[in-house]
Amino acid sequence: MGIECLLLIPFTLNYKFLDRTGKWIYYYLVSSTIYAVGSIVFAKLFHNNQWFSNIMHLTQFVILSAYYYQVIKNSLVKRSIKLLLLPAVAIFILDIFKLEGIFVFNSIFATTRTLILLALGIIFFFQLLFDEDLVKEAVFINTLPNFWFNAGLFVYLCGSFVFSVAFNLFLRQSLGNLNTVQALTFVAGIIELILFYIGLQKAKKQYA
Amino acid sequence: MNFVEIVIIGTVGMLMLGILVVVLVIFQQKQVIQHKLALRDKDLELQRERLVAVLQGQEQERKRIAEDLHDEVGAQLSVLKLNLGQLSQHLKTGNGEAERLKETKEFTDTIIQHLRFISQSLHPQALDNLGLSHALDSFCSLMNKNKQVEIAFKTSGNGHLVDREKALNVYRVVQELMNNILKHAQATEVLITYHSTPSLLSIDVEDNGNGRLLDSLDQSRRKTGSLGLKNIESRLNIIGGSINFAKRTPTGTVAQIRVENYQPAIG
Repeated sequence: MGIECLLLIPFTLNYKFLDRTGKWIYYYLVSSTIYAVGSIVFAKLFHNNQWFSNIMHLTQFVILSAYYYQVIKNSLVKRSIKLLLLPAVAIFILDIFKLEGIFVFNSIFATTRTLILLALGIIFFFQLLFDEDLVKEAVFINTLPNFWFNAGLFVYLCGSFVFSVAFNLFLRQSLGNLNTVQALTFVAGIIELILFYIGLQKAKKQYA
Repeated sequence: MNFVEIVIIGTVGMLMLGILVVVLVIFQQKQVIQHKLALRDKDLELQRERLVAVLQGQEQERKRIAEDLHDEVGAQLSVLKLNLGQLSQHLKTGNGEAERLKETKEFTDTIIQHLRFISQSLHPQALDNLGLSHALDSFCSLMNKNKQVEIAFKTSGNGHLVDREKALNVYRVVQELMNNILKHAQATEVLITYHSTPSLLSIDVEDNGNGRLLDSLDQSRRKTGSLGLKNIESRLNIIGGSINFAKRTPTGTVAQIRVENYQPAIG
């Protein structure tokens, strides 16, 4: 949680340098901080924070969908992002009320969400790779804040994908110690935040 | 291998894959851009070579015409003038023929002068024989004879030799600037200052006109058919020079031409 709060400080201080897409990343960071604080509070209060975790997963999915809706240019993909929100919410409701339950980690929705976001991340990478305007103007993608934001999200989602798939199973069947997997997910999270910070620096440069 | 180990390996694998994708995307795009830049550079080099060839061809043609005019037509006119001089000595009658002959001789003189001017404009002989500074000086003298504008030439540190191709291009640029001043600036005085150091050649062309030269150059930059400024820029581009236009106080415009490494290569 510490690093999210820490990163929120430079993002808040430099909020004016962020464009519309950068602002969605800021909202994502805010939601991550709420997620982190809320998880601790609810774990202490009710000894179960999974329902909160599930709701935050949905919230972050909506925020990141909005982010990808802004950055992706292809109209078909844009429309798909809008349309995918409905089945995603349906899976969330189904998972939380029927399939896995409120007080457990909803692996089905978490995996679906991660897969969709990974696909969007790859689509955005492809868009950057084949962007004729960037090539014409000789703009290297590592100078673009959105490249770094997407890279951060992509690395984190890759790192947390297996965890999302297996976490519920671990909790239900007590298959072993999850500390190493959690540590790896934290590493992915730290890499994500470092890449976000680089993105913020690029946004500042671009603004200047 | 137990389930936990599989999950750990899977997570590490995915994480590595994520990082690898990011790195690959950066390198791939860098390569694409570098390849495109290399292609663009090649294209620009080709265009530059074509332009140099066109300009060289143009200069050769101008030189040929200038030599033909000077050596053939000029010599013939000189003979004509001599003949007219001899004829006037033999003329006895006083019915105004002598007067008409004198007028014809003067007219021939004017033609010879015009011819010299055209020949000089087409190919400045002084550039080959005496160097850029003298060629510009004689260009100013020549312009002073024909136009209403008073052109002064000031020089300092002109002991350095200028590469022939660069000299010719700079000369043409000054010529083009003078044309523009005469056409648009409504100036009465023009000052050309020539200054050279071992590494930098500077020529300033200032006029006391209405300052519209800047606007006319701006307009010509936007027009597709206008060649004046494009010629200036292309020529300077070829020799690695630059030009900067500024407003002159109290009135007029200053054009500053700068050429680095202008001396001929040794060996």
